[in-house]
Amino acid sequence: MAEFIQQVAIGLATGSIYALLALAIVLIYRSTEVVNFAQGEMAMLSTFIAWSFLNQFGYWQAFVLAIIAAAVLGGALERVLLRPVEEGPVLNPVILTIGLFTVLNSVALWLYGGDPKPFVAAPPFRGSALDVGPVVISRANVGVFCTAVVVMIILYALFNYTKIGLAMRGTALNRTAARLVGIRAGRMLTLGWALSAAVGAIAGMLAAPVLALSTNMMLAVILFAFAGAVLGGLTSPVGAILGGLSLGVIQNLAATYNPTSSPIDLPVAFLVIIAVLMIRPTGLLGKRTVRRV
Amino acid sequence: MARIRIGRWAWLLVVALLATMLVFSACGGGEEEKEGTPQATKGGGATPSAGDTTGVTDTQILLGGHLPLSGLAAAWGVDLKAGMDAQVAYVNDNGGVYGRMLKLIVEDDQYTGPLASEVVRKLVEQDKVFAIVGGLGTVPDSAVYKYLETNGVPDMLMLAGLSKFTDPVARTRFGYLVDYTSEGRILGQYIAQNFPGKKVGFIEQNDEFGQEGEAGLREGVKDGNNEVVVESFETTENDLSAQVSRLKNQNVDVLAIYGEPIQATSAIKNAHETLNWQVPVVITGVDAVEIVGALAGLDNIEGTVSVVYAHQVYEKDVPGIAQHLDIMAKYGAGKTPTNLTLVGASIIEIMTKIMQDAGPDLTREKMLDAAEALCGWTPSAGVAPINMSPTDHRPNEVESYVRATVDRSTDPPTFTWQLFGDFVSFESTPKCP
Amino acid sequence: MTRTLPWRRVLGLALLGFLIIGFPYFNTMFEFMSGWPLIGWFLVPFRVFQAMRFGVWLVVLMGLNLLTGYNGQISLGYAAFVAIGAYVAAILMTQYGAHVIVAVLAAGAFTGVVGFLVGVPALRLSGPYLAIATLALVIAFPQVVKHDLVSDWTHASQGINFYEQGTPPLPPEILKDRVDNNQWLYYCAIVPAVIMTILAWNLTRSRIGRAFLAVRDTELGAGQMGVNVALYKMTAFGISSFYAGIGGALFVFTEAVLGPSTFDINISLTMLVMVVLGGLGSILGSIFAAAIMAWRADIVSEIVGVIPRGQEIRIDALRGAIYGGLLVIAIITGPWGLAGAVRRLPRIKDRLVAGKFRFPGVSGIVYPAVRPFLLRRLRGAKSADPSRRDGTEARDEPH
Repeated sequence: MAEFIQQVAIGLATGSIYALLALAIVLIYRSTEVVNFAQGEMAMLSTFIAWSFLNQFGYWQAFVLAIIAAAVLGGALERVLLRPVEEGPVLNPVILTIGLFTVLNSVALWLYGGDPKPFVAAPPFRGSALDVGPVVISRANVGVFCTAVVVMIILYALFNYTKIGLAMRGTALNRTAARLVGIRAGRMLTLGWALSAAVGAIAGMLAAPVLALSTNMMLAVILFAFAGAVLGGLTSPVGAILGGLSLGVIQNLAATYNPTSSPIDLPVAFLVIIAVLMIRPTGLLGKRTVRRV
Repeated sequence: MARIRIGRWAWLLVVALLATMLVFSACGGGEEEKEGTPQATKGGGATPSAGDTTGVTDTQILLGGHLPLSGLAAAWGVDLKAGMDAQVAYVNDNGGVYGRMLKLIVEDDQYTGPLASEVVRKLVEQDKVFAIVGGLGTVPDSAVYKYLETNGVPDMLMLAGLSKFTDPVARTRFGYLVDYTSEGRILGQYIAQNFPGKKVGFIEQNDEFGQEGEAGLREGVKDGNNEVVVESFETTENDLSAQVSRLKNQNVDVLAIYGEPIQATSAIKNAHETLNWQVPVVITGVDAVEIVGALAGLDNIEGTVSVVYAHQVYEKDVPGIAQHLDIMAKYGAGKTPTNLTLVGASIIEIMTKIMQDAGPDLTREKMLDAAEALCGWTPSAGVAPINMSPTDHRPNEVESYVRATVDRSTDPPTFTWQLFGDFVSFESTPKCP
Repeated sequence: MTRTLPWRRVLGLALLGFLIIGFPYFNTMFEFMSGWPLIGWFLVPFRVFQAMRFGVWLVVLMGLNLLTGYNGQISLGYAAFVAIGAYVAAILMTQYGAHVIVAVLAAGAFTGVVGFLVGVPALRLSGPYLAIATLALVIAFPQVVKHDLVSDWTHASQGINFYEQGTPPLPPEILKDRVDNNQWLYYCAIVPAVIMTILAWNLTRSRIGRAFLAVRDTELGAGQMGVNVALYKMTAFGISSFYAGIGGALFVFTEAVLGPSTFDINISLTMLVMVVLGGLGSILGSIFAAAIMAWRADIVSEIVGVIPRGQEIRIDALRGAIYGGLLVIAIITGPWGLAGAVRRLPRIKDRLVAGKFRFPGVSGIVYPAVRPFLLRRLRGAKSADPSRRDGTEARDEPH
């Protein structure tokens, strides 16, 4: 029993990393209806930028600077590259983000080299591991979990209780109508990307102590983040957390209690996702869109 | 345009075409050679015709390489290529090989089989290289090694440690990395000698690299009566806390890890720091590099045991290393020397020595003869001599145990892998003729 | 387009046939031309191998285009189906000694059935949800292949190697003197490719093809018109998987090596990218896609080749960025892919005159300035009047 709880805790820890990145994905999807494959690489690059700042500044200064840099990068990418393809065939933005993925990964390799770099955890999350009953969990992992929940609350509040959030949702649903109502659609899109890049940067900086900072840091994470976001519903921040955490737990339990002799955690995890999607085709908490014909 | 109506005659044509293909393939490649592998026997493989001077002119020797320069493993390939390019420039500046300048063409295979097979075919059929050197990766090398063997193209100093590449021996193929099974075996022997009867937890990468390591380790611990339990992970998994936790719950006494530096350090940090479980750790030589000190935390990595077959790039006092740093400074176009640039440079250094030994009338046959005769020579960064023979195509068969050591008298503390104990030799050619 | 006379069409087809059938021998037949700038590039003997790869990719990408281009179901995990076909064919050929044509057809059939069944759960999903679900398929697939339960057949991580476990693809005895390895494989690949292309051409112009398009463009409307949406969506999955199976089998036959990582997520995403770049929803698009796929390594190498030797080290790490950058530029400038651009070629002059181009980004500033000069060169317009420019660009649908 103790092992079960420990493995669930580890699964939650892994899952919070997925959840944090999934929040960024949901943010972009909710405000621009684009699935951003380059999310992980943007996060990774921002973390490298933070790492380079760490040499000169303290942790929090570097943290904030990296978030600002990420937001600027995200907004610029949207304005320059995404704008031309947003109003065309629906697959084109996806293809563009795949191209961006490759570019960012390669640029990071060129700028920072291939050796993995150690990255310190945020000050509140340093120190010895936490011992809670049968569970031993590192503070860095706890940090990721807490931050994910906080960011989720902020995003939820943003989308549902602020004017800007409403404007962003409106732009995503129907750009022309939003313009007619007086919303600067372009600005909303850029804002969506900037915010999402910032969330990605936070995800990267918190995950780096656990995953080690390297150009391949986010390769596996982004895929699970997508899966988690889809599991929870691409339009719901709460769903992103739920999906990411569940995915982490399911994956770990599947690995721990595997009756066969070779690993099957991936197929099991994804079978669960498919099963959930069969019952709720837009994810656990996603909104079903009804189109008027 | 309307649909293509396949008329009567067109159908007849198509059927006739298919029938001829059927007849031909039935008579040819299908039944007759079904007995299986044509040339995989010891010392076999297509040998280049005597006097094969492909890739050699009076002024130039053309070498080819396939490395991952973009994608998942680009970090390795880029550094390797930098080391190789720098060494080539150095050799050329010093007169080349009997006046012939070396030219190295490295193509990007993105660490995938299909692309590797494509670029290797391009190097062989279009560029007509003399030999392939330093092909990296179990997956790309597996895709091309038989093609190179069948076509008599030398596949030199492969950067992949699968036993199948050097056992059975093929005339045109030479390894470089210590093969994973042998390395696993000597790690297992260390465990058997130092932790007899104890339970071993083995964390392996879920591919041939990890599985060969496991096989070797199991062989090595036979004398020590050790039980081995296995946990595995996929190459993209960077956080091994789950696997470590499971092994702790199974009460293992020793941890052995076969993975890349990031995963190994994740496991070590998790065990020693997070779980406060001071279990002794043994890791593969792939991870005996400087960066693991910083990644895992000096306190956590201290005492970990591994194996090496060459010096590391931070050992500036070793003349061979100092020379490498010089060469990279001069010809490396600003690239920082790392262990990978060192490996790349070593490969070219060894290849140059082999071609030098082959004499001024360079042919593929002569070069292969020279390679098989290379014995008792230590490369500049090596720890022990290279001994090869017609039945032994493995240059690196001597390793030394190393222990992660932290010297706290300096500030900041210095981290090194200290050699200890006797050299372990699984040399198949103990004496040179 | 004006109607062409039959004899021109016959001549065109005959020329095409000659090109396809005779290609492997061009480098010897036209050796004297090998120094010429553009044509010389085609006459390098290595092109025969690349043309063989082109044939294999043509079959594979045609299937993906049928599913995503014609039927509008986005599949990010298509490589998993290709892998299924490849493994089935490889196992049949190495362990059961099946003849290659039998293995290829069996692989196609098996994969087609699997695809059809996968189409069932896919019915409930759409857009990004379907895309990620198929992504999940291709991510989980390697572990399934490596699993102990099937590793007797699949050889887990080691994979299947025809040189060790079967027979490598050599030309039959009778032809050994007339064709070399590459030429033989070229024919082995191009004949099925041509057959599958003709089949696809017919399919897309038949009732099934029209149903696919209808379902893609307006699912609700198609249902209202009596199209059995569910059946056609599943059929699309099935047929595209059939193509995937055949393509995968051809791939493994010509490549002779197969492992769990051969068809991973990277190649799956690349396939989708290529199909979009080539042109969704057209046969020509699939051809372009296969061409880009077969020659993509060359393109990046050419660009890197501009850098002088020795200095290459500086930008080796950026090869990925060059590839990605080209991708980004390609998708921005050609939203309908290469085939879409080709289709619009004849009307470019008219559209320039009418001022119907609106370029995004930086070109949006440059173009209006340059337009008067362009028009004067074309001599098609009396006035270079900027006020004629429309606010929006006419939306074009692929056919």
